[in-house]
Amino acid sequence: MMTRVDVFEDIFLVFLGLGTLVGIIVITYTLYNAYKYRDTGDAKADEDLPTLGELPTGGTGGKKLFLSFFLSAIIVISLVLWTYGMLLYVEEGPDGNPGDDALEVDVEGFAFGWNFYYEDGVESSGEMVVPAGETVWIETSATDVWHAFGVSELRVKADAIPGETDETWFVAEEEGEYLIECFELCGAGHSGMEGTLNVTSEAEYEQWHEDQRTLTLTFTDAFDEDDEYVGDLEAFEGTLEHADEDDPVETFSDADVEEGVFQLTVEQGDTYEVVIESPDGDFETVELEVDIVDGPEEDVVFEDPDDDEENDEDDEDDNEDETDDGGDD
Amino acid sequence: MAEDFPPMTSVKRWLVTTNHKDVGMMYLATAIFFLLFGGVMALLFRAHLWESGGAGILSDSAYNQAVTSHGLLMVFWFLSPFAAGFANYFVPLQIGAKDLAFPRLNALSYWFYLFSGVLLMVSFFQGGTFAGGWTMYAPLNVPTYTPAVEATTGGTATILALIMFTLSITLGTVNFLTTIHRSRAEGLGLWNMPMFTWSWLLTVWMMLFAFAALLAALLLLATDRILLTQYFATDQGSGLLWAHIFWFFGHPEVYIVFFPALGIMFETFQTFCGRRLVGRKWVIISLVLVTVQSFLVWMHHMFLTTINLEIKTLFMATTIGISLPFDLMVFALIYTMIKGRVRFTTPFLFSLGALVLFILGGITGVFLGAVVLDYEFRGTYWVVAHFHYVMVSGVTALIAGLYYWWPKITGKMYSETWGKINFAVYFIGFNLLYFPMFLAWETPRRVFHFAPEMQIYHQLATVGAFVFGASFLIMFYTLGKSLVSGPDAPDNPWEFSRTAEWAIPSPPPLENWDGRPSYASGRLEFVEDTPAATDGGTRTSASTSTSTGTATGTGLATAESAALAEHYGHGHEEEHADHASIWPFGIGLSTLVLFLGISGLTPFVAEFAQGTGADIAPDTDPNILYPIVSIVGLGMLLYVLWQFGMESFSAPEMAVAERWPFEGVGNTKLGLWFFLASDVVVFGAALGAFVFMRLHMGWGEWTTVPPVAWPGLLNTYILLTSSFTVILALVMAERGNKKGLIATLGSTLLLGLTFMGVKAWEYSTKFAEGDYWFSGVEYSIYYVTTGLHGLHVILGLLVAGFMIYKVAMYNAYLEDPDAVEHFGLYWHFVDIVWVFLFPLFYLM
Repeated sequence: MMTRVDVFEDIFLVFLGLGTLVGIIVITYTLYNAYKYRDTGDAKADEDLPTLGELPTGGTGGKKLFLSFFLSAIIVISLVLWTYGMLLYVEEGPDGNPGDDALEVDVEGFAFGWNFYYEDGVESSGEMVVPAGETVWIETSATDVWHAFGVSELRVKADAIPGETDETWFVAEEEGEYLIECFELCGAGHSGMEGTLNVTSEAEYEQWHEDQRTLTLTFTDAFDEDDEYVGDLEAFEGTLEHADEDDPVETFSDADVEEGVFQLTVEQGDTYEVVIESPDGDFETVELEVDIVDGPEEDVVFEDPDDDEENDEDDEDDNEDETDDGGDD
Repeated sequence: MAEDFPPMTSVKRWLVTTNHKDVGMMYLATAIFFLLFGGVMALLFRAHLWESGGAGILSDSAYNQAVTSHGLLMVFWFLSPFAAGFANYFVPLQIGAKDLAFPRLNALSYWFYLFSGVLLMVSFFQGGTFAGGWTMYAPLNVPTYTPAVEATTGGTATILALIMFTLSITLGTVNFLTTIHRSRAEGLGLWNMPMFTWSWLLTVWMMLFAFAALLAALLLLATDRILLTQYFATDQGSGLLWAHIFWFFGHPEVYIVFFPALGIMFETFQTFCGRRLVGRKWVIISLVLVTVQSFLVWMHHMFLTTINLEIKTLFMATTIGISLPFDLMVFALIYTMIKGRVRFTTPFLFSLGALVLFILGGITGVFLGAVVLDYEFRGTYWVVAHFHYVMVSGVTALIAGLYYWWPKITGKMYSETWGKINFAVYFIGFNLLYFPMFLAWETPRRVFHFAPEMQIYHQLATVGAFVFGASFLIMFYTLGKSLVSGPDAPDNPWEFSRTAEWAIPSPPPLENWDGRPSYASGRLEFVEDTPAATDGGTRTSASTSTSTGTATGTGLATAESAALAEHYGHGHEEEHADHASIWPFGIGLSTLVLFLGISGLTPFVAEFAQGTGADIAPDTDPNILYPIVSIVGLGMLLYVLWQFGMESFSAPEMAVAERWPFEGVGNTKLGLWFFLASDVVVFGAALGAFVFMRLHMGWGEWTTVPPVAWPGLLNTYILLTSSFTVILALVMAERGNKKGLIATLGSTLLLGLTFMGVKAWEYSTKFAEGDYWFSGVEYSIYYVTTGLHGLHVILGLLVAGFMIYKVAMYNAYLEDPDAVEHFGLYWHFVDIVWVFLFPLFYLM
């Protein structure tokens, strides 16, 4: 299987070699003739020299002109025909247009960064994680103005136009971090509009996905003011619900909480609602709406049932906004 | 009056002149100024590029403004006007005309050019000039709807400056097309024209159609920015729409800026190799092929967008196709040197240098034509390096032209030593500046963040930029010294030159020559037409003009005495030509004032829109000065246009000329046809925009704006009737029937007013329902397209009113009804456009 890097290097090298060769030959030939036919003051008396006021006629020597022209035309046309085959390969993709198992990522450019959306609902901002050695199909668009997504090292690029979706693919053979840049002027922050492509092993990739689809709940009830774990968590029953479904996706209780922290992984990243109730009414029911798309962390605060005023616990969140319903407003 | 024509030392001379040589010099000088301005922008951002992350010279926004204005200034305000300077000066000389077909319009072209540049300069102070790249991609170019970026008044002023510049170009192209096709000397067929004139002819053919597309794009963009329409603001095809219209212009544009340089290279190679151009016929055919093909390659700027594979393949093929004629032309130049007598003068060094640089640049262009490679080169410095190599190789040839024609224009020679030093520093600076860009090619465009390993290349380029800039200082010194203390130049300082400009004094007299140039005998002669003979009379051979230096009359020309026969002050050529008018200056200035005022109207429109309930907030505070300036500008414009129309200005047509294939039509009528051809493209682009956006949304999903078809149908009948009355008007004029003429012209005017009235009623019913032009893209397109047509109707009505006034007060057109016919032509065009508009907007 040829990666885009392979395709590019092959073609570029040939063009570079041929182009340099042709350039050197033609320019040398030009300069050589300029020197060879420099005016030395000998005028041949019978020569038909150009005179002021004559009507223009073409000089002779057309045959040589046509020979050179056809030669150069053949070179140029053959080169391009050859690349056409490669173009078809690149358009088709290394293993046919995305099969069902293909890894697909939606790339969204905005001023001035990149968001990535995976099929399992995971979202990432600024960093795209993919496994090494696997074909990644990306569909690129933009939310505001025309951007262009590109990873120079992997020879992949796609215009990101609002309202349009540009499809392309790439394969990263080696693990590591690659630079994503924007290749279309998009405003004052265009320069430095960067992102990271993180190429990992298959196992790390799967793990990352799982982490993104994992919600971490920290029960503040089990910690003291110095954030030391003290245990003593109240009993509760919790459910994780999805907007579209009647049955809860998951149920859990205080028994599942380890050292004050409970983690919950879903199959499909999306917006969920966490409901935590006290069976004895010891605290107000906690309702949290969470986007489980990028490994969110939430604090669960148990409020006394009569406490209406205290609601200034802000949740520590990473980088998305959800409504905090840690009490009653 | 010619007797009062001020001397060159007076300021007044330059404000009123319409003479092609004066206008040419003004273009050259002004273009050099904008070259410096654009160059300083480049030096600023190249200095900022000394370190990755920026060296702190420019803020982020200032960086984008510098990069944008550099591109705009160089592409628009320097390259073509500089070439136009040479064209103005030398095309008439080369073809044997005393001036362009429409001298006042020529002066007007210049003043539109100058004042458009002034407006661009003012835009820097209006919150910042345009900062979205010279390619002005959408939706970034309409930031009103995008919260992330700010719309500045300066950005709008930039767009208006470009519109004004496009008006300058359009007038110029109509002028040159008419001149070259109608004012060639006897015996000078199209095939016989010198190569520089050929290259300019094809340049203006391309300009006619390409700039019309640009004008459409700019008008739509201007309505977006000022009236808050939504052509380029949506995510429903706006980005692609701009790309298509802009690049349809943009690709021919690169040949528009290169062809004159190529034409100069053909001239200088022949002169300084002492050989006629090899394969001349094929070179001309290649030039024509490129001219046509230039309109068929534009999507190669869009390979990375969502166009499908079949289209990409087609445009890959056409792109490779267009490189082939250039191959032939390059070889033609090389072979012209063989068996020649090459002299390495300053003009030739610059020409040869241009050829070498163009070869390098052209080869790197083939890389870009291979779609697979373009996928990676897109948006990188490879593109930047490629186009600077080819375009600035064009600049190199233009400088060759400056050194070549300097003695003719100024009558002074310059120091060859200094000229050669100029070339050496130039060539070194050029390659030091642009070659490292190939090595740093992975750097994205318009950024100042790059990988550490690229830093050395960017620093080399920055050093190169300053060396390159310094070479221009040397050029100014060399040419300045020549003006002040250089030796006088002979009529023909260059051995083996052949074209007509070298047969007259340096500098040429106001009327260019005595008598009439003619090639009827097979070579250039200046003929005195006697009243008795139809041809013949005294002939003066071109090669015996008083030439000193190396150019003596070699070859087989018969030597005749330079004494001329007496003038016969009568008949054809002796008709007195005017050279002065202040009104072009006035129109240019008024337009500047008007456009300056319009640039700040957006906040007022936004407030209005808010008032109707639309969710639009103005970006900047309304400033009452702008509406005031707009009104003042409009008043000035109407006044000077009136004066321009009333002025009597004589620009006589040549009595004897080669005119194929336009023998049967007069200058004004031909000029009008050319103008209408470009107007067809403007409307074509506007209608194309409608079709594109509607297809993008889904033809059936589109909200059709007019609720009923009958007003459109009524208006169609009204317009068709008015075409009939305008035909009757011509009949009346031809019969000398004053009352009939006034009646028929008046009827046309009334019908036109009725049309506008029906239109006004239609618009107001839509407004009453809350459907304004900013209410959505369907509405924008309806109002702007019908509005553009309506604007043409209004302009026609103004002209008709003016003509009725002239008939009533001055008995105009009764002896010479041509103007009525011309007006009729324009009016028919306006009707035909409506016939296309009506079904598209009312019936589908």
